[in-house]
Formats: sequence, C-alpha cells, structure tokens
Amino acid sequence: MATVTVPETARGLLRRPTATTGAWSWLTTVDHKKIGIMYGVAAFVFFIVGGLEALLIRTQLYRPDGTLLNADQYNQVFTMHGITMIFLFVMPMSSALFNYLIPLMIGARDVAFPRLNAYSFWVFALGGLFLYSSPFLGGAPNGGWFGYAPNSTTDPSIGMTFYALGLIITGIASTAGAVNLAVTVVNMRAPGMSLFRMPPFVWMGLVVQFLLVFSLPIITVALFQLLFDRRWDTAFFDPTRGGDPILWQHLFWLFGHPEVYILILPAFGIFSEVLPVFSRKPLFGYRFLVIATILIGAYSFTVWAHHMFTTGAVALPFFSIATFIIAVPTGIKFFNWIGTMWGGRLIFPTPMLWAVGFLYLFLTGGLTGVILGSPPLDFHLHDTYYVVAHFHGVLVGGSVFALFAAIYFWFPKMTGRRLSEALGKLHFWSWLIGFTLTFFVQYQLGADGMMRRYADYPSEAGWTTLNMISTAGAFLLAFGTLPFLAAVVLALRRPADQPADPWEANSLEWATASPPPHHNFDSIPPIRSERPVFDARMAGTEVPGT
Amino acid sequence: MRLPFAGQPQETRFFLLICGWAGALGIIYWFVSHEVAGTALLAGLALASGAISAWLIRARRLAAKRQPTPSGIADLATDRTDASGGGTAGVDRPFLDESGRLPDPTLAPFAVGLGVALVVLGPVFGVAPVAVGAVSLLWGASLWLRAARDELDAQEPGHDERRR
Repeated sequence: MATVTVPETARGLLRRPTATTGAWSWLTTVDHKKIGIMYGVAAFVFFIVGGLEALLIRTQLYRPDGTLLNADQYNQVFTMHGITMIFLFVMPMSSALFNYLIPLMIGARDVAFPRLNAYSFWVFALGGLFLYSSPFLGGAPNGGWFGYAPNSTTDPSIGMTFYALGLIITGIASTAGAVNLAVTVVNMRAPGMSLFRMPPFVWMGLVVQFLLVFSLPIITVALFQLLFDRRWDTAFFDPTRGGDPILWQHLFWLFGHPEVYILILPAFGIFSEVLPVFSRKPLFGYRFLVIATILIGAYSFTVWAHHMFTTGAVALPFFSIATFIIAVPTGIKFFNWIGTMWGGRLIFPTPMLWAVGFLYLFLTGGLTGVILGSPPLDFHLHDTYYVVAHFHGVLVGGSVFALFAAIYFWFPKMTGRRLSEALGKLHFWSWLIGFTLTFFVQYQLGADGMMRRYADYPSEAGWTTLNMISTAGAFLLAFGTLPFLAAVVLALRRPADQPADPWEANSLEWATASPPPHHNFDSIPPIRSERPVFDARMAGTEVPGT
Repeated sequence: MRLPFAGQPQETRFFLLICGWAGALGIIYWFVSHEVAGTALLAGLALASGAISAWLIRARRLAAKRQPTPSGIADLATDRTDASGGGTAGVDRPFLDESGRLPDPTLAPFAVGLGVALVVLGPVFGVAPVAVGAVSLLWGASLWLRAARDELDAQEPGHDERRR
C-alpha cells in the first residue's frame, strides 16, 4: 500500500516535501498518527504552563493577605489558567487521542481529509501561541474563562480582545477537526464494522464531534459580538443602549455546557476501553452505554441555564429538572463500568489504577454537580469555592485522570515502548492524594463562604488552614508529575520492544504493529463484534500484526 | 407493531432520534417557560436533524433504485441485520483493494493555517497581519489545490483529459 507518487513535473511552486524524519517531516506531515502526537505534545506543554499558573494561584492563597500577585495579575493568571486547561490542554489532548486512535480503531488508513487534519492542528497551535503572546503585548485576558459581559466589554486593557480572537482561532481549528473526524467515522469504517460494532471510544468521539459542530458556532457568534462591542462600539451587551449582558451568558453557556461533555466524553471512552481489558471481561451493557452517550449529547443542550440560576432570568424548574435528568445517563455509565469490573479477573497495571481513581473522583465531582442543580442550594453556593471544587472534580478527577490512563495504556502502541510501572504508580498515588488534598477542602471553603476569584482574604475569615492544605495538595500534584516526565524520557531512550498487543486488548488498533506503519494495516481480522481482536484471539486465529 | 423507520440504517435512526428528542423537548420547554429563544433553538435542532434524516432516507431510496449493495462487502457483515458493511454502503473499501491513497507530505496546511490565523487578527491589529496572512493563505491554498489535483491525475490517468 503505497502513497501516490506524483511526477516531478506535476509538482507545484516548490518541490513537494519528502522528508520522513526530522523537524521538516513534522512541519509537513499529513499522517494522522504524527498529527495526533503533535497535538499531544503541544497540549502537554500548555498543561505544564497552566499547571504553573495554578501553582501561582495556590501560592497566593496559601496565607491570608497574599502579596505574590496584585489583584490585576491574579485576574490574568486565573483567566489564563482556565483558558489554557480547557481550550489548550484537555480539548487538544482529546484531539490527540481521537486523531491517533480513531482511524486505527475503525480500520482506516487515515482520516477522511488528511490535509485538513494538519491544518486543524496548525491553527490550534497558532491560536494557543497567539493567546500566550498577550502578556507581552499589553496584558493577558482577565475576565475569567467565561468572559462575562459587561466586564469583558468594558475592560480597557487589550486582554479580552486577545481572548475573543484567540478563541475564534482555536474554534476554527476545532470545527475543521470535528467535521473531519465525524466524516471519518461515518464513511471510513472497515467492512463489517457497523455503528454498533464500533469501540466505545469511537462512539464517544463521534458524539463529541457532533457536539462541537453544533456548539462552536454559538460561541463564535458571541465572541464576534464581544469583539464588536469592544472595538467598534456596538452595544450587544450594553444595557444602557438596549443591549443585554445576560445574552452573553445564554450564548456562552449554550456552548459551555455541551463543552463540559466535549471535555468529559473522551474520558468515558477511555475508561470504557481500559476497564474491560484489565477486568478480563467484555464491557457490560455496551448498547446501553452507547445510548446513554447519545442521550447525554442531546441533553447537554438543554441544561445551560443552570449556570445562570442566580440571574433571575431563567426558568428554574425546567433547568433544575433537566439537570437532574442528565445525571441519569451518566449514572448508567457508572453501572456499565462497575458491572464490567464485577466478577472480573481484575489486574491493576498503571492504566487501570487511573481508571479506578477516576471512578472515585468523578463520582464525587458529579454528585456535587447534582447538588448544584437545586436552585435553593445553588443560590447559596454559586460562585463559591464549592463550585471550583466541583468542576475540578469533574475535569481533573475525570478528564485529566482519563488522559493519563490513556497515555499509559496507548503509549506502547504509539511508540513501541512501555512506561515504567514503578514511576507510573508513584505518579498515580501522588495525584490521587494530591487531588484529594487540593480540592476536597475547597467544598468546605465554599460552604463557609469563600468566593472564587478572591485575590486574597483576611485572616479573621477562618479559611487559613483549609487554604494551606489545598496549596500543599497542589504542590504534591506538581511534584507528582515529575515521575511521569521521567518515565517518558526513560522509555524513549530505550529501543522499541513492545508487541502489537501487549495488554491482550480488544479493538482494532492492537491488530497492527507497535508503532503502526504509515498505512496502518496490512490486513485486519474479520469484524463480527465490537471486540474483533478478542474474537480472533479466542478463535485461535492469528491476529494480523501480532 | 413495526415502527415505520425500523428498517432504516442506524445513521438515519440516529438523526431521527435527535429530531424527535429536540422536538418533544421544545414543546415541553415552550409550555414551561414561554421563552422564545430556547424554543427556537430546540425547534431548529429538530428541523435540522429531521432534514438530515429525510435526506438520508431519500438518498437510500435513490441508491437502491440505481444499484444493489456490492455483494463482496455485504458478505463480510451478514451475521447481524444492522451490519451495514462499514461506512456508507462501502464508500471506503480499504482492505478489498489497494486503490486508496495517502497524500504526500506538504507545507500547505501550515501555510493556510498561518494565513487564516493572521487574517483573523487584521480587523484589530491593522493591515500588516492581513497582508502577510493573505500571502501565506494564497500560497498555501495554491499548494493544497495543486497537490489534490496532481494526486487525482496520478490516480486516474484519464482525469486530466476529462478535466480539460
């Protein structure tokens, strides 16, 4: 299976690049696997930067009357932390996995539009660089990651202009990537792979792409309105001239709540792949899990205003009930995962540890979200550290734990090398303990009345001890990341020695060499279920690539 | 009782499900809140999903009239009635023949991406980024289109003639 050879005479303005190694090959690649790796590396760099910003925040709040940052710097740091972790780390890290794995999992050579795929990556990377050029060009965004009007429209610094433009640019990348991956899944599945034979990770990916396609236009419109208000004196969000600042909240959260599921559904897909492998059982209730995913996707567009209960401008009963209902399909998934583990022959290599840790942390993060769905409680807890703890429970305990599980699970496939189990376990336990210390105390801080975005607090507030515990936990998270970096460096210095299927796994990506060849597969096993590699192994037939 | 769309492919049923869901929710939402914007959005989602479903049903009918499903693909997935043979009736058949293509490396996506990112900055940061971005965008687009054309020509020798 060769690439198309184009005659020299037919080549364009410059000779077409042919390098297969070195920096130039990465700059010019259209291979989904290399693009996936580039997404992953870029996202991880942003993760480190966003993590350092988190340490600045926690250091500032370690003691009362913190002086490390002034109020304006603090606003910039927490805003950039939020933007970075959501738009420049979790989303692109999910893109990394989708790019690398979806074509392999569905038995395709590449994505439907390989050049568009590379374009998406470069636009994302340039958007991220643009956002991070803001501190050097007049000031970083300072209005929070949700940029509420009228603060975002009236702030005189240039930061929120960078915010609007940067998110428009990264939104272009996400839209192109979403269309590409959706078309790939719909059109390029291998023979025999019906929709209900797709691996759960691919299902989650497909629903995420639809959420992106439907939700990104909404925030793009809102960002253009914000830009117009800031630069050309329009009044979309100015109530003194007939505008409405609540409109921004509607538009932002109509995008923002599906965005929560854009961030968490990849995690659900990862655990739905990891848990069956290390439970040595098929996924319990595969069809229910898929249907629950579709329902979550649909429901996610109906709960946006639970972020706006305190505005007094939304129908409380409707959005409260809708918020309770959306917990049901997520609960179904929990039963899927517990049922998968129940009675299984469990083993606990590092990816499985992250998966089990996720069950514990995401459950607490999710349940505290249901509490916030009750308007009377939300009125009390809105914009407090309780909310901060809740969404970090979902996004760190959910998405970030999943992404680490995915890296430990698929690293052998991507590189032919396995990450150290000892360092991986040190990494996991540091994070589990660090996370618990950092965020569980924040529930109490919120209940005690500490509001989010406070740059400092007085000593008589009684919040000092809990803040000190939280900051200690944040530093444990930071130092706990070092074993992971060491494991990656050590693994990459070793020769590739991993077989095609080191975990005895289920889906098609394990039916080709580690790392896969440029064309992905020489042949694939027959697809008769959602576990073709498992089926082939059980039938005693040779699995291609193994 | 057999539902009227039970025999449709999963893709069609998927969009029909979204259509029904958004429509039903839109009605409930209107009677609970009497709020126009949300109702309009839900109605829009229902209409868009319904339109896609209708298009898929129509396309399937037309395709069935034109030609039967290739037996080579259908045979690979006969043990479940919902097994469509992968993709949309076998548009992509990577392992039944070797004719698929993998594009060459190219600088075009980077150049177009850089161009788009710079042009977007123009309205705020002036003409300079627009000018640089436009050059990059046009050069990248030119590379992109040439690469696509050349690959098509290399795959289908007669294509160039037909194009002329």
